[in-house]
Amino acid sequence: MNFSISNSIMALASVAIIFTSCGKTDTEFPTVCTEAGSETSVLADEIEAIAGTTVTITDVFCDNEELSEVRWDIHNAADHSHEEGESEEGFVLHSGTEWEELETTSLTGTRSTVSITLDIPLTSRGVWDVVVSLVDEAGNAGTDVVTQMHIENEHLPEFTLSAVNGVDPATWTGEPEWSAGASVTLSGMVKDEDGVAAAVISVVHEADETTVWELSLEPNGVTELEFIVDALIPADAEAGEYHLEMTATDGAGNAMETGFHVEVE
Amino acid sequence: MLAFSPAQAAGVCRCGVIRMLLFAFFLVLNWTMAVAQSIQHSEINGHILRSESQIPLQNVLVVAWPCGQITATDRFGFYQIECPVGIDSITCSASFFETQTVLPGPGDHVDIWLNSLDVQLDQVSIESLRSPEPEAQRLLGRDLMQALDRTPGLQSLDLGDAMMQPVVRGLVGSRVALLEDGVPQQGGRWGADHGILADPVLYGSMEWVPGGGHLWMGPESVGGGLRLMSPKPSEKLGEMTECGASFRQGDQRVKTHALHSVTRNNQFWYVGVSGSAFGNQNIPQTSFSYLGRSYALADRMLPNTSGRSIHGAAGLERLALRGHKVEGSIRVSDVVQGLFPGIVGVPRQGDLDAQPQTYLSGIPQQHATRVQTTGSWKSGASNLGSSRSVKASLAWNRRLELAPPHAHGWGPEPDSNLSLSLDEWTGFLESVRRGPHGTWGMQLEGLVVATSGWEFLLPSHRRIRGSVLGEKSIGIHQLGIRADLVGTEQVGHEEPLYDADGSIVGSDRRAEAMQRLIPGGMVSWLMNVEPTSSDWTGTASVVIYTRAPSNYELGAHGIHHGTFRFEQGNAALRSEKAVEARFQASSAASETKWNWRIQAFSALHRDFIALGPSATFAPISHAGQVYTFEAVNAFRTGFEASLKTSRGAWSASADGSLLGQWDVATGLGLPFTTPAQVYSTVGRSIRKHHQLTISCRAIADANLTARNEAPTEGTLLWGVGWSLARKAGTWSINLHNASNTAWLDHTSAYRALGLVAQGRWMQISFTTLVKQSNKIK
Repeated sequence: MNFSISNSIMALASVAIIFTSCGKTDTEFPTVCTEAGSETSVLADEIEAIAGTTVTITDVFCDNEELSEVRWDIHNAADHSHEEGESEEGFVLHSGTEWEELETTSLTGTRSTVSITLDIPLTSRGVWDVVVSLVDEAGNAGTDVVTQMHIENEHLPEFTLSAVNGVDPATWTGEPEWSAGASVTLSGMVKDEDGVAAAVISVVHEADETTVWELSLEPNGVTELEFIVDALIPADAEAGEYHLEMTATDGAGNAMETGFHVEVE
Repeated sequence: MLAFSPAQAAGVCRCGVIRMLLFAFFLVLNWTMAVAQSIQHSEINGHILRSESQIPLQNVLVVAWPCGQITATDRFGFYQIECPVGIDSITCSASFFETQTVLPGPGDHVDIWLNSLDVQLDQVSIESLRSPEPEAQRLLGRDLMQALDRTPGLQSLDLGDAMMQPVVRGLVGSRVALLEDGVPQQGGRWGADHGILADPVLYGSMEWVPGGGHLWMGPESVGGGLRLMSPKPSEKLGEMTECGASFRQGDQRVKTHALHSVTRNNQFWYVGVSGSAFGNQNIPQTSFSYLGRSYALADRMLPNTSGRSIHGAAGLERLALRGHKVEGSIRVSDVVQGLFPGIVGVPRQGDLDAQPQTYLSGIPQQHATRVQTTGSWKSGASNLGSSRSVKASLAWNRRLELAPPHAHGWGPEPDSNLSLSLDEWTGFLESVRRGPHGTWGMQLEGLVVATSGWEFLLPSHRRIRGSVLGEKSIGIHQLGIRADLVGTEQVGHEEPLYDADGSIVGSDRRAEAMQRLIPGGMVSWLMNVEPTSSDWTGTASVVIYTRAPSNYELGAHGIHHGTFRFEQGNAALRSEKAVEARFQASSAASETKWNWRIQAFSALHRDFIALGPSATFAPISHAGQVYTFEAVNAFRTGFEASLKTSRGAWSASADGSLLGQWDVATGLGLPFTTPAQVYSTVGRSIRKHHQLTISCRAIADANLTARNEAPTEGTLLWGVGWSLARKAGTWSINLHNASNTAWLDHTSAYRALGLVAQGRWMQISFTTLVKQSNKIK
């Protein structure tokens, strides 16, 4: 039979191939091109900060054609890790974890120097991630650059835990798992230069925020109080996610809260 | 017996104004063919059709007298026969039909209607399951995901049990038409990853149609489409019950179904139900990352992905007086499934612990429901062979996403877990008039969507489409034309913009009120290719078509948990325009031990709507870069091939596909382009009832990528299957991904999190079919 469609198909395909071969686009990612050695750059191994002060982070960003935006995402480092630029911190008792900053700044040109100034809250203590994301005008997103900001706090009372059921929590590799009905021995210290007026340890069910166990340490204003206490998980406690919460107030009325997550089975 | 009239023999039809216009539109082609045919004075051609349904009959034996030349009809029921000395009569015979001998009329085109022997027995007519699309292919198997993955050109997206989302030639979502008994499914099709709720075991058959611009599938079929068809009457009067149950080790899925159907005089009905419960998905992986954060996955499970599904279906088909037929059906589906916590807000490591109960999921969770009713009426054939039909359908879809309020981001914490609600009402109306040489119809479909919840993604919107359709067969050619008019509107949405301190720092206008009227349509030409050798048959087609932007592409503006991206629509998007050429061929069914099939396509798309990364970041904490829907010019091409053979107890098959999709302006690939792959099997029958199959799915590296899209490494996935067919039923065991290989599915959004596809699972299943025949009175 006579059949002559193949020429049409070939013509269409040829036109299309010609079109596709014409395509050129910028696919190069923008980068952080700050010179090595800066202590207030996201390229630094870590950034030191003190609660109640300000920290300015300055970096230089580069792209082969045109930069578009930089985004700083500063968030507490608890409960996750980052693939890039993060060292192993071990067990850290964070405070004021709700503090975070997300700021986006427009960039122009192929090289731009930009700073962000952070007001470190007096309620913060622990480790925060500083994540810098970049995108250029073509939409190419660079690999996130991450460093950690260690926030020291001389303002709030401070809890430390030396052992939980005889094990140093710094050796934990994940979230601890406790059984319903278990008694968990907590060893540690709470301290403050202004004296510790109140200190309470409790276990709270995350789902409904009910307190299933609580103990007041009664520090009576001492500047350092070591404690060894047994936290009792009720036998009828529902399985699920719980918090071990430690709260304290110093002689000047400054209150703090810290703790960690627990899985109750 | 049906009368054969001279008017029918001459192919005369009553032409309305529109039909006349179509006739004029193809005048040149008609003239060309008329010239070609008029010189064959002793040659006759025409169609052979079922008298009660107008369905063309294939492989009808046609004998021309007095020379005794023999030919057979093709898939369109078309025949062409020649006697050098002239033709005085034609005899047509086919199994299960009365043999007819007719005298040619004054013209050289003779259409003949055959009476089914079934009609004389006064049974409900038994229609073939043939799709209106000549390029359609049957999908075999009750496990849709398995069927899709082994069909070249298709791939499944794993969204959970009983959620259908096929990837057809690299396209997905609203670019793939899904039709249930001919009704395009509009509900639940928003976004790139949302499929309709349906369980394949409650359907009679499934077909897929490759390519875009199919007349009856609506303008959404750019990649192609799937047709799901309800059970049909059996050839014998009686009752039939199919039951099955299975257990899948891996995600601990238990599933059962029952489908009962009754074929009586003039009546057929069915009722079916299925249900499943499944645990967390098993993956051979121990970590993933989201927004640069890395998390550990304990127990090699995706936590909180368990759930359950329930489906029900019932239908009635009744033959009325004068050959009229009425049908009605209702389908209900309800699925509750946990959402992997890593995709809602910024997860905490503690959120990713596996829940203690196997089949229970907590929030975040999705709850999807669908109720659909469809009714149709079809007239008997008139003396001229024409018939009419009307189909109407009404459906309600609801999707709820529940998430902990802390996932909201900044601003006041919500007082409920309802993060997103989509309430969708859809309607469909189709009226069709069929004749021996052409079909005309109109379609009307509407969609009303109300959205709410504290995680804004899509504004409430409405959409209506009206289409006028026409189809005509001219010899081996089939021509189609459709004119569409889409009207749509959406409401505006604005909410306060908060900073990290919870202070209002501005207003976040997420959607503008909008009204659009978008015209469109399609024109298609398909040619049936049948070489004289009869070793193979095929089709070649060229289609020009448009597709109006979906309301999601027009109005989305928020974080989409299914793709882990902040997606932004564009209310100014224009219709996609495309020209597509397709070819498919397959070996004729014969004694040869090799069967093959090839198909290829090339398409040029103008204003193709692609989701790509923008140059800005999202203004909320738990999202990264903003992805926007933009119009690009694209070129797509692909090739698919299948080869099967059997030698005694042995059988083997290989199915492969190759696909390329490019953004013409940048030369980059389109996102989620399916990599090349080959699915091959070797099987052997052991003794009488056993069948053993070893399969291997080879997936090539995916290097054709879009901007910011990482390439994906290829893999080999081995499988083993064994089945035992007994009188009581069939037992089967299937092992999937036998080596528990960790592989990234390039077409899955989960790949963006570095989450691999499901690992090894083994399924044991049992199905049985109980038939009880009645005596014919």
